[in-house]
Order: sequence, then C-alpha cells, then structure tokens
Amino acid sequence: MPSLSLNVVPFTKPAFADQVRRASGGSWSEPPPQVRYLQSYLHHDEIRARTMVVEHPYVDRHYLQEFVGHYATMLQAVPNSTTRIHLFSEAYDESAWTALIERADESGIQEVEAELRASYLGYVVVRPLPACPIGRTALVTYRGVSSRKYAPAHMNHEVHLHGLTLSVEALPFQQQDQALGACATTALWSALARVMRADGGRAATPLEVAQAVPGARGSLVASPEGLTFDEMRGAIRGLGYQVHAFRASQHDNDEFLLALKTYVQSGIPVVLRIRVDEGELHAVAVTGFRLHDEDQPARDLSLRAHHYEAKSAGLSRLYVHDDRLGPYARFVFVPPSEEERIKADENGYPPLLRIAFKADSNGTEFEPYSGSAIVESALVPLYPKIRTTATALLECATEHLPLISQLAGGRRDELTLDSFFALGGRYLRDVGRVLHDRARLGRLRREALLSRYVGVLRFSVGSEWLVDLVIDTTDVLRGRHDSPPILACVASDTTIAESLRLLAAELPGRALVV
Amino acid sequence: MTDEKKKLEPAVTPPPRVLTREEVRELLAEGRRIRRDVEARFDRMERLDPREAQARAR
Repeated sequence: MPSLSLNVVPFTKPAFADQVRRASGGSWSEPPPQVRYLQSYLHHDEIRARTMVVEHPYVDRHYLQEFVGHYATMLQAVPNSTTRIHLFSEAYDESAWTALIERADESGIQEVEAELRASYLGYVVVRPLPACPIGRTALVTYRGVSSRKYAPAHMNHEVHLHGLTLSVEALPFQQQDQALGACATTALWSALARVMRADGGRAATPLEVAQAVPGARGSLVASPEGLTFDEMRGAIRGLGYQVHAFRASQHDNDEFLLALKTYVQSGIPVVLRIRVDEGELHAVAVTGFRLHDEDQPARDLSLRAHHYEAKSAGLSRLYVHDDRLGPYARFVFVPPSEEERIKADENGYPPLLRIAFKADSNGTEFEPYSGSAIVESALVPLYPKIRTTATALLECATEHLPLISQLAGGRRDELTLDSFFALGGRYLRDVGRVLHDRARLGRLRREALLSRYVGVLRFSVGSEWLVDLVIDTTDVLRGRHDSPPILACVASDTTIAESLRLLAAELPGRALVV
Repeated sequence: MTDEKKKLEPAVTPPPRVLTREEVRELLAEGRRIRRDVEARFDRMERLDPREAQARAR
C-alpha cells in the first residue's frame, strides 16, 4: 500500500514542466502545448504562482473511470492513480509549509485554512499518460480587470489537503486523450460540469459524456474521430439536459453574440464549433468574456426591430477552455477581410464571425494556434427547468421594445438591454442593487411567486436602470408566436410602474407590478 | 447576476407622464408586429446547415 507524499516545490516554469513530466512518466524535448500554456498562465502577473504542493498518489474520479473503461484493459496498463499539483500565490518552502501544518495541528485549523485559502490558486491533476498528461484542472481566473466576466467559472470545488479544507472557484478543464474521445467530448464535459453541478447533481466524467453519445452507450471507447453536431446534441440530451443550438454562419453576428452573452453572463457555458484555417472543425467551451472598456473597446451589440433598437455592451474578448491549449484561453474577434465583406454583400449575408487565440505579447510559442477560426455554431446545455431559450428571451424583449422606448422618454437612443437567467431566489436577493425603494423592494420580495429559474430583461437608459421584466422559464411555449409569461414588472419609479400596471393588465397571467 | 449590474443606478429621468391604456395597447400591438421579424431571423439562426451538422469536431 503506497503512502501519501506531499512535496513542496517553488513554482517556476521549468519546475512546473518537470513535475508534470515526472508525474506523467514521460520524457520530452519540449513540453506539450497544454503544459506550456499552463506554465504561462500560472506565471502571469495576475496569478503569479509561487509554490507547488505535489500530492501523490491522488485518486481522481474522472481519470479512474477512464482507467476502468479503457486503460486497465491495455496490455501495458498504466497506473490507476494520478498526481495532483496544488498551486499557491504565497511562497512557502518545505520548512515554512511544515510549520504552517503544525500550527494547524496545535492551535486549530481555521486560521491556517483562512491563510491558505487566500493564496490558493487551484490544482492540476497529472495523469500517468505521457501523451496527454493534463487531467482535471481547476484554476482561478485572472482577477485584475473588472470588465472581464467569468460567470461560468463561479463553481466552487472543495479541496482536502492535510486535513484542511480549501476551495477554488473554477470551471474544470482537461486535455482530451484522443484515444478516448475528441475535443468535442472535453468541451461538452466542461460545459456539463457547470450545468449539472448548478442543478444539484454530480458532474459527469469524460467517459460518461462519451458514452452518452447516441450509439456509443455500452461501448467503453468513445469516438476518437470526433463528434457530429447531432452526436454532441445527443450526448447532452442523453445526460438529461435540454440543448439550445444555433448557428453563427449566414446570420447577424450581433444577434448570435447577444444569445451567447445571455447564457455566459448567466453562468451557462456555451460550446462553440469553430472551423480552424485548415478547415478542420474544433470545439471549445466559452467560459467568459470581456466587456467593452477603455483599454479594449468593443462596439455595442444591437437588438434591432424596425426603427426600435436596444443596445448591449459589446464584447472585446471571449475566454474559452480549448483543449489544444488550456483553460480561459483568450480569443479576440477578427474583423472580416475586404474580400469577405464583398462576398458577404454579394450573397446577402453578414460576414463570417471570426475569432483568434491571442497569446501574451511574449507568447510566440503559441503561433501555430493563433490563426483565425470561423465560428460555425453553438450548443448550450440547459437546466431541465429552463425551457425558455436566450433567443425566446430576446424575442420577448422585442415585443416590449416600443413600450419601453416610450418609457425612456427623450432618451430612447440610449436604451440598453441586459438579458440573463437567474435563480428566482437569487434574483430577489440581488434586485436590491437596482431597486432602492425599500417599500416596493419589500413587496416584491414578499409577494413575487417566481419559477426556480427566471429570465430577466433589464432595460436601462445609459447607466440608469429603468425596468426589469421577469420571465417564467418553466412554461413550454405552445405556439411559435406565444410569449413566455411575465411574472413581475419591476420599475425604477412609481410613474413607470403605473404604465407597467396597464401593460400587465393586457398580458395573460397576473404579473406582479412594483 | 453579474457584477456588471452593480454599476447600475435607479433612473433619475422619469418619463413625462403615465401612458394611457389605449397607448399601452397600441405599443404592445406594435411590439407584437415587430416581434415577427425578429422571430423569423432567430428561426433562421436555429436552422442548422446540414453539411455543417454532419462535420465532426475533432
């Protein structure tokens, strides 16, 4: 029976690569790109890892299932356990670490836990697979810029180390072993991990995702040649979740991005199918975006219908889990070439939506991955109780645009829309950030009967909040032109509330108006 | 709800007046008309290209 070993090692880029190499049993002249990406990510000023605590052996449920399903049956079987590398931003050497652990034993663990939690950056599981060493990885996001939004990464992972409980907020990432699956499998695994956990369940393992592909059930080895759109959709459904699928090609880029933004800011990852320049299709999971700011300006997104318009803050970056690279990889939008613009005009379609990986300024080592890719389509796993899609929310917003524009008075040109899904209870808690009238806030919180998840259409004029329309997401729309029921209309002042009361009287159901 | 919402403040520019019931009905009817256009666009967005759907993401 092997005993547990925990080694404290100062973090440097070469030391990290060396630990991964040794734990994977590999020998390489140059680390694989995923290891180089993690070196760079962890070395970045906004994270700046200083200490690694290397835990071995570590039994990882996700790897263990793959081991049982595949690796154990190989003639030259690989070990069933992994190594886990914990990362801290504080610098500890072996003696400082030992002193810290002894202090936990002697004077109580809470103080030591608090100290370690403050500098804990997460972990990287290293599989004993030299060709694809990076297993389940949960790392914090960069924290330095408030316009970066990583709502899907707001997922808590408890970590037990030396009897201490640490935690990290992260969306899990792993490098796909191509013997067992494809990028599509791992992108779905990351997205589903968030949705299944938020829904109260346990995250599926990569093997469970692969086996949920229609036709693969019962098979121990997944489809290494990749997954079609229908197979990806089938895998999500096979695990009990709804799917919203939509495409970018030949469609208005703003509307595609508005739907994507709605999901991502609701904490729901979006799986993108992208065509890289060589023509091969690849899948990534969107885990965040950067909104327009002074350093990285972005054009507003626009929801237009006839002469009505609502704008939404534009996106300058997408952050994606890309198994060719690593977690939270930064992608920028690439403007269409003149030739593409002319071709799109001739065909009567908007130009293709292109994105490209952007490494740090010193990241020339990632040049092979920096070519632009065309965004083809998106798949979104949805909680069973979200039966209203982002596009249905946006359609509902359109229906109320003329009235809301009227309520904006002379400032209708400044009308903005933020659409998102939220837990009903969470919405009632957070709405106090915009509704400051305590009497009306109290009434809303006491009287609103909300579904488990609600859709929120938040209209503002410039930076001033105007109205929230709170939508029931649990009703299935019977007709194409039906609107999801409005549960509550929340106004910024009583004059607007009076007009909304007249609106509510015209709608089916009994929306609460405050 | 994201941090983005924290920056928002209650409106300080009230609309000129309360709308009448007739105005609300007209604006809602107008909204239902223009919604059809957006629905048609989103319908197209949700209709996948069969060739693209058959391609395998590796």
